[in-house]
Amino acid sequence: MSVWLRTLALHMLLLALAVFGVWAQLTYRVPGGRVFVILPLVGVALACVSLSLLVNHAVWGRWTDDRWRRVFARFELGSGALILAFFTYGLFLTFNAGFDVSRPMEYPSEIKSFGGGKVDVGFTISYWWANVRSWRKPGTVEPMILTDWERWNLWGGEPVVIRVREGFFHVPWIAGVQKDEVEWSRRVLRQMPRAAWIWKGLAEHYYKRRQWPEMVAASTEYFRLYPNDTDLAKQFSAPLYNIGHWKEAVELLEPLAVRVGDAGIYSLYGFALTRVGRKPEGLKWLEKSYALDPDDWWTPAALAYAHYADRDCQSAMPWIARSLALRPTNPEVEDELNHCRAG
Amino acid sequence: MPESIRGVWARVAIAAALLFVIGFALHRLSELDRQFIAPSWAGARGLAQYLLRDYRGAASGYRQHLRDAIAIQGGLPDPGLDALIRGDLQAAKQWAGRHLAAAPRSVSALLTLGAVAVEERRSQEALEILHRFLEVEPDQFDALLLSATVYARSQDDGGAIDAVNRALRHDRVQSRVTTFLTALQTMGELSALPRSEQPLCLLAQYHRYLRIFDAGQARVALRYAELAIERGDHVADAYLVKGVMIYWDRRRPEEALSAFLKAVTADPRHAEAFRWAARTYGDQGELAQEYRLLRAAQEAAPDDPYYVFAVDHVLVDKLGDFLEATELYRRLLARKPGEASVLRRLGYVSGFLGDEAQVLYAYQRAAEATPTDAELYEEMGDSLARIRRYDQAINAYRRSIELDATRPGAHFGLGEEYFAKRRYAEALAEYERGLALGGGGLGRLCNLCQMYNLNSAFDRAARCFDAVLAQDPDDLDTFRRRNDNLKDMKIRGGRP
Repeated sequence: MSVWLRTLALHMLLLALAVFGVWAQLTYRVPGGRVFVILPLVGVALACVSLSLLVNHAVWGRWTDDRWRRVFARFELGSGALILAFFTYGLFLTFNAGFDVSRPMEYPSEIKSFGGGKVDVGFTISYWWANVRSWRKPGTVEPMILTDWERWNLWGGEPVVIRVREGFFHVPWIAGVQKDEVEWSRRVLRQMPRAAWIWKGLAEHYYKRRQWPEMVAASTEYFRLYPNDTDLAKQFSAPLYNIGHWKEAVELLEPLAVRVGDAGIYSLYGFALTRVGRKPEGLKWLEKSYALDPDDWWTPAALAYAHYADRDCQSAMPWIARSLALRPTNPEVEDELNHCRAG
Repeated sequence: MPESIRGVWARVAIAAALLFVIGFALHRLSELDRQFIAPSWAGARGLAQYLLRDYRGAASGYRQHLRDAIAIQGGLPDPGLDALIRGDLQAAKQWAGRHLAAAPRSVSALLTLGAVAVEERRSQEALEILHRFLEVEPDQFDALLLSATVYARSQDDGGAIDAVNRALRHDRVQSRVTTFLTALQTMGELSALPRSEQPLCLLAQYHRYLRIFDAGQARVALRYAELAIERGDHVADAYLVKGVMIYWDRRRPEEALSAFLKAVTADPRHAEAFRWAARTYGDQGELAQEYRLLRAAQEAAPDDPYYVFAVDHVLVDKLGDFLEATELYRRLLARKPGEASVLRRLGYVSGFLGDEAQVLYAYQRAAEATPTDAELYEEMGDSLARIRRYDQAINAYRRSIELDATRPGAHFGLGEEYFAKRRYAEALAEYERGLALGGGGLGRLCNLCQMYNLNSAFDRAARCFDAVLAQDPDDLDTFRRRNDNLKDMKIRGGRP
């Protein structure tokens, strides 16, 4: 009984180690051609061998013939050693990815074809790979393991972006394969140029990647179709304000300011103008905004700041007071006021 | 006793075979929905007969299981369904008759009466009742599936195939287990016919339906579809079934698309085949093709609102081509003036285009047609806000909340309008109500954080911004707002 229990424990442990090794290879994928696509399958085969040996122990117990006992003992030892090697490799991959703090590099590629399959044995076991245009050796195709999500969301012939990270031990690993949003959007827009959401998606893509000139260009197309989305214009102008990209902010807001009667847009546009050396023009837009919506605390605050930035406290003070009257709990403006008072 | 080499190989082979059999059994069982596993002898018999493809026997086994289970439970809350399961058709008919006398459009009673007529094989009456029911609830799954049985028994394969097609175009299933058992029994009856008389395409359709509960049925449906194509039995529909089965397998989308395109070649008015082809293109990100094929589907079935909304979904929700959408709705309104659902969509897209007059006209007319629709008022509020009719938007949201206070969207909309009017305390309250009702998303949560800030609750705002950034660390706008809040906190010394 104790021999059987020991065997059971040993094989279950080996099975778990093999499963971990396979999981690590499927999760922290290493680009490197066909070998790295086949390796997890070897791991699965080893897990199956371990399971078969366990079934053999369970059904027939020990071999009675010494010769076969020796052969199978060696076989068990060999497969166990291979599983341990697989496990160690899986552990290495896990640490390589787990401790990796590098930023992912993005490589444009294209899916040529898929391979693999899935099987249900009470739970689903799936294994997929794609043949993609190599980003390392142009003109060649290389296979790459895919996750379930990637398999179901990507299509043959689809332009993709492969995100590769450097790895803690400098072994590059694939952090993800995604649809190439830019290429896809451009394709759709070539056929349906009035598709506002696609322009918006493209602008948002650039926004998330902090590609400000591209974001402004895509947004301009979007706002041309849909000038009413002032909320998005305000959202997009926020980071430009934050990092002082005033020229892009002016470019983004200018067409909207001309077309849409929105006090918020006027004030944002006006303030951005004051920061690109067009202060008199900017002040006019800010005042226009204030006339349209005199209850907004931000416009007087912006007017105050436009003057305060030139150390013109005298012109700034009334606007600071006006802003604080509209929003008494505004520490930043209060701070500005205190500085002005202190001279 | 020493083992021979043959004995060793026998052991290895038996171990491998054992693993394979266990794997196969697990695989087959994992394909089945839980509803097939009934804990009784009758249920086990049903399952065994189902696995052996004796569907009539399976239906009978499961019916017996249900009868026994209900007898133990002491009955079901729906007396019509209870009588149907017990097989007491007279009691079911009497209950439905009494119920319909009090409420002539009662869906439960109509469905019970229809099911009784189907069981009693009174085809004409069954169809009349089920059509009455479908007028109350268009495309209702149970009614369509029961109609399919009636058509199948009358050897009107085309009618049955259409009914199953209509049922399956929605992502839902029957509401009553009895409907499922009737379909299973119908399949059994059709399968029991001599091979040359079997309606192959209809059987393929039925197996397509069964695939919802048993993934293994996809293989059978595919085989019947191929046989139907060979025999020339409803070729377009057979290609459709073939395509759908390949589509759901998800390994060969190109093959699925090719089957759908063959279906529309065989029948250029087959709206459902156009829709599936469009769906396949849509999955691949080919939105222009998706739109073109959905337009073809809509033109093939111009009176079916289902395809209008399929086109609308791509045009408005996926592409955002509002000008094209406006043209479409104008054409539809010219065919059916005053159609509330189309008016709503016209109002919605006009809001994006900033066409104030059209927004007001469309929603006004839609509200006259459906004055108690809370969703309509919420949508109206959104569109009015979009064209900067803020006071009217507030009124629309309030009306929506009056009609149904559990809609988070109306609370958020109202909160945003209060926010725009700088009524921060009220905005915060509405936002909190919206989130408590289960609405949300990161954008809304970020707005809530901003409202805490504007209500001088800097501490809560800080925690809130941190929570948002924990979920999306790349959100620059939230990051900036969080920094502004920290600056406010610092200047205030952490005190509001």
